[in-house]
Amino acid sequence: MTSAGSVEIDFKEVRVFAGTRLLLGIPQLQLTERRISVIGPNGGGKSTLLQLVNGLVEPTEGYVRVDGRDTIEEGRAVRQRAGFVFSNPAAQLVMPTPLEDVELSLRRIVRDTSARRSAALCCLDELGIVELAERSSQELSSGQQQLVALATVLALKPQILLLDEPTTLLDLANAQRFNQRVQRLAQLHGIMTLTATHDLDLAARAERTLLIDGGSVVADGPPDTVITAYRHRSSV
Amino acid sequence: MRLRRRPLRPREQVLGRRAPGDSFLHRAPAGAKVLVLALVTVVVLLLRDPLVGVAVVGLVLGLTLLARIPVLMLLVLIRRLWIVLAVLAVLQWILNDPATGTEVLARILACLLAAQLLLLTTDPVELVGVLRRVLQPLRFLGLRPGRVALAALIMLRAVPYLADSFHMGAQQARARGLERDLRARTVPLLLGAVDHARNTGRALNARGIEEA
Amino acid sequence: MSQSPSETSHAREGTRRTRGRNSSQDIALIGVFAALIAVLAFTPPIPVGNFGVPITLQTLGVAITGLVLGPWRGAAAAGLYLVLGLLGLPIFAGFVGGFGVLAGPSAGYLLAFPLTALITGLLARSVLRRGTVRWQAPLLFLAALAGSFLATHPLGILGMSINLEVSLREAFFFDIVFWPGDVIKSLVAAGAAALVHRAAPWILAMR
Repeated sequence: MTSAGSVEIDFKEVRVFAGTRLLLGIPQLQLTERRISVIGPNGGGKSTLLQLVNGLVEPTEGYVRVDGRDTIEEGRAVRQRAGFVFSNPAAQLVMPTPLEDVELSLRRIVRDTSARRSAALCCLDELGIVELAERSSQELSSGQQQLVALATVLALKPQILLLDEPTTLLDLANAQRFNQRVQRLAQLHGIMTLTATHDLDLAARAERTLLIDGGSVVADGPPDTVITAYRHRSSV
Repeated sequence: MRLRRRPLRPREQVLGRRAPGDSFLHRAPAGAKVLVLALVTVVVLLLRDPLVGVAVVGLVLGLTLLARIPVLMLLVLIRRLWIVLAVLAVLQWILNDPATGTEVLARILACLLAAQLLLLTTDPVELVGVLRRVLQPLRFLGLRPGRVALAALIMLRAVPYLADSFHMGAQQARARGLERDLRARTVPLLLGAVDHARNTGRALNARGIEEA
Repeated sequence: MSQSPSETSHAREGTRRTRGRNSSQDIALIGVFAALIAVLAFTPPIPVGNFGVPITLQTLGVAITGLVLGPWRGAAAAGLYLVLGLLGLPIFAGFVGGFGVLAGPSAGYLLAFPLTALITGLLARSVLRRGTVRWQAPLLFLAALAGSFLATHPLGILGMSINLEVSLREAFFFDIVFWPGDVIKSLVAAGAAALVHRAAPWILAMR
């Protein structure tokens, strides 16, 4: 279903510096596809690209807009539309139990506590982890923790999901489970996903793939051609 | 075969083991327990009477038995601190008269044992709730209890994480023959902590969370 | 190292728009550094000679916290550590916690921690703002030492004198045994902190 209107992410004349070093430069980029994958070597700028989209990284020059909203001037509104899942599950959960963590996400938009609780439970249920609701977050496996992290983000009903190597620290079975659930829910709710990954099989299942290396987009297009270009570049 | 003692217990055991059971002490609200402990400590500190110290030690032992908590779990504390306590005893014997020495030792022991009893029957997370309530009156000074509580929750989660990384750093240092090098043991821990803080801060930012 | 390009890039940022203070990131740093002090305090205490206070890495954690986080966040982290420990979390040296420590020999040292982090942090901040990389580590060492000798030791001596019922003079002599360890710990803290400020300049950039 693509009931929610399509989203547009717009980069213009963007350059990001860390001190003197150019981390990422993107003269012009428009993203509208539902499933986009971002590949490339470590330190090439994948993370920076994702973080530009929800304003976690400020462009030193130029601007990034999500549906016409500037990611810095309207950062808060953009972050509510664009959820972010990081690779390290341990750093994303703060509350003692998954239920409380999802409730914490909802605190600003759902005032009533019982409504908030049922919304949180509903969200955990959708991801198939409602039985973990009252468990201690610390005792969960990292695969389970990562699903909880996804729940804390999906609870806000984002239009965009930014996934920064979300399965790097998971074993194969957990990684597959995570990717399946992301795909199912993204399709169900019409969420645009932007996934940075080293998993080329996963990257291949997108509509569009960006290859980022040395701080710029070096290839952009259908997954198979871009992945081939990446393989070619990386061969020694 | 003798079990080797590990310097650091990994994961959630780092923050102390709770005594098994569901006694009145386990069920009592954490705030009440903290308050009683504070009062007992103040009384022991102010009265400075050996009898008070001994009485509190007796009271703590009595409560432990009543709540069916294994007394050994309470006394682990003494095993951990016996060198310190022994040194203190010798010191008092040399410097002070026996009455003062007994009083000092009884006072320290009473307060530490009472605190240990609280610890054995209270979940660390409940203490964060207590902290938040304690801070409520300070709101007018501009202090935001929700923010402090969030920092405290992050701390609770970071302790086992950093303890693991410290343990690992120590092993790496040993592998390189640097186990006596304080720098080799602390720098990886510090960089790991900075990294963890950055990741946590980013995740909080992405979710728009500033307080718990 | 030339400073001008980084300054211009900062200036560009400044003229355009900035998010300002990032309180979520500050809260995360405060929480994690409070945990860092706790983890360093867990290393087995080394009691030395004829006194009751064990030498621990606790004070190393406090020095690092002040040097890395600066005065306010540093004091907040040390304060959080102290308050949670007093409320009953077993995070002081030897896995001890609770108000009970106020009766013990190390009470003064523990209560001094937030002040130590504040003083160390104030000095460290002014060192880092001047920005001469060459003298950074030695100056940070002096900042750590100053925090320790202006706050930790005086309050520690006072605490021992009260709780052990000995004179200030006697307590002072017990305290001296810590000095060599303290110098070593300050050196390590300064080296480590200088490294962190080079590896993660964002920590100060936010202030």
